[in-house]
Amino acid sequence: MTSWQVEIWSIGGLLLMIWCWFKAQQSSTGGRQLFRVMYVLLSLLLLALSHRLWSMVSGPEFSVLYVLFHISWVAWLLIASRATIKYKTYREKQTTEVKADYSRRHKCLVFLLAAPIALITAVCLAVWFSRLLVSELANQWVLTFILVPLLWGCLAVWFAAERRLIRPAVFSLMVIPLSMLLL
Amino acid sequence: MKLLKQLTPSRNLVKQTLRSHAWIGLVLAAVLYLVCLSGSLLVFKSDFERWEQSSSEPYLSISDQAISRALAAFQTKVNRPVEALYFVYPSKDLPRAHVADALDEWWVDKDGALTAPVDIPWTDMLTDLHYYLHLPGTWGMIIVGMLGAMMCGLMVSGLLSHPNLFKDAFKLRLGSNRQLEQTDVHNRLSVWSLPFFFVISLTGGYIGLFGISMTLVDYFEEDYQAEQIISEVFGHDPSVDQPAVVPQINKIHRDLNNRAPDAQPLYLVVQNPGTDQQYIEVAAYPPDRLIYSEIYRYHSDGSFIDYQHLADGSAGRQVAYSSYRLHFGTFGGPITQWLYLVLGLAMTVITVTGVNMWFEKRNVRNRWYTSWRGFVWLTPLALVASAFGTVLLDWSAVGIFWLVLAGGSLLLWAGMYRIHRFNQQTLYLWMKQAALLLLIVLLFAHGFGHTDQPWYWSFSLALTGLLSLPMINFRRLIPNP
Repeated sequence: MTSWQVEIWSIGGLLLMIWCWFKAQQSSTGGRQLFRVMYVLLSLLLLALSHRLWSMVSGPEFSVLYVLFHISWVAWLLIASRATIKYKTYREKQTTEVKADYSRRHKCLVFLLAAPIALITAVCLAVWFSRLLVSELANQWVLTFILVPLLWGCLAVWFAAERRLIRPAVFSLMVIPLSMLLL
Repeated sequence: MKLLKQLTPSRNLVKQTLRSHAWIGLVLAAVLYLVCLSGSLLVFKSDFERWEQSSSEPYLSISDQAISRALAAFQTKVNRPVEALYFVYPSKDLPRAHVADALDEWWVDKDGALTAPVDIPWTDMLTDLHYYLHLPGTWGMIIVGMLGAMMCGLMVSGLLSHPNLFKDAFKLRLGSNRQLEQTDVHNRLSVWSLPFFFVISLTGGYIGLFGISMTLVDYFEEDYQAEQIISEVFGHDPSVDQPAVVPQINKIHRDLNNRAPDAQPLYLVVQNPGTDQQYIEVAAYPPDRLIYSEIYRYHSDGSFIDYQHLADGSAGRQVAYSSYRLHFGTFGGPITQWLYLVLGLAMTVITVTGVNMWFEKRNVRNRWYTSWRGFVWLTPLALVASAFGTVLLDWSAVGIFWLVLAGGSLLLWAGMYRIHRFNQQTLYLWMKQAALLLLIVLLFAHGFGHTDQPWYWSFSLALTGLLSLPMINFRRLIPNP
């Protein structure tokens, strides 16, 4: 098979896989459990087949990415084909004012916590995690560099979600000095 | 079922994460939009370079003698000490070679003669917008890196605030209720392309925050300096001490061909030229790998020193060196490039619909919403206007871009809200039409003198198609039951 043929077969496999998933979801109502399991298994099989096909021509590294990335647009096509449209005009009373959830002081504090404090906390936690999980030095550092953005993002979400800012503040104020002492 | 129920976040958690998702998204929306849009376009960076500056006839291979001539000609031309001298091979993406150091860059023809200095201000403007948001180097990079981190956070909060993730996986309700429509588009696009967004955000955060993470990690590592950490991760430089001779490019290429016959040379560097520490590095891309390249090192006489073990070194080194190709989609050829463009534009749409949802949910029609929507449609216009001004009139690309974008958005913020009778949809349509019209004029005015004739027009057609997309009403393409 040429690479183009493989491409087409693999994408076809993904389309079928998503369709099976859709059917499995539809079978979740009305006690059709057997069909559901069958569709789920079939979709997993098709996923593995698409991966195998891509792997044959492009190697294992690319094939994982191809499967993960091509699923998106294939699924969007299926979703768009099933979209429902209503052309009734929908009018609502509209306003120009938005009530603020929190005071400016609270927002400034969230910004301070979610930006610099969360970054420093993220670096400390990343160093902790990588030292715990990995033994080789070079791998440790790379894992730290990769974990930093992920942990920073998660901490920022937590800090912005908390109504009582004292909790994330205490957490950070414990992690940072402890890291400075122990690491 | 029990497990699914247990995994479903509680109502309180959903509420909290939704609030933080909205907060972070709203605060960063404008810069996220710029970074996502410029990043989507930058997948075709080489094509933009080729499109922007016409040069000699395209070619895909160059002789060893021509490379030697180009290196010598460059050194004569700049006539100053050079720390590292780069020769970038022609490739399918950019079928012309160039030679450069830290300050100057010249195109090279097939015979190795320097033809013209590389002058691509618009592509540089687009690159700088994505890398630095046009802010001073380090700060810009940190802020863009922070966006990568916040996008990771937005993904986590988005997942937690969406308890009906699986139930709604195939729902798309378009038409009458704008909030519902924006929500469905936002959720369907984001959920189904989650792996891509995760990879892009993480690699973006990693690249952007490398410097600041390095500084902080350096603080915790008492036994290592920052340079030592870098060389431990990416490999050490060889120590060379022998009289410099003219680099024997043919011997180097012969050895590389025997050593890695399938590898595609990307660039060659003469390190410390003219000194006793002179040596040559050739970066070559091994097929079907995500690492940017393997680097082979040679003495000037062509004898092999070693290679950097980027392809077969520690897992950390391979992962670290794979981030560029993963982030910019420079693997797997044109299909991957188009895939990255589509998914990158989806990311842009997600940013826009996220903000729209916030306003629509609250039924708010104020100056902020007007200027946000104006900002969204002014950005393509600003990009085209800056290309027009730069390529045809030699004006500053960055200046025009910000003049159109910031000036237009401010005008909308200040005035549009009060003009109730003015139809805003018409205004946005004018913006889209103006961008398309300006692009068509630019393509014709710039195109006739271009040396890559058939390629130029096919790329121009693709650009026109891309800019026509916002004018298509996609709802009409879906059959009405």
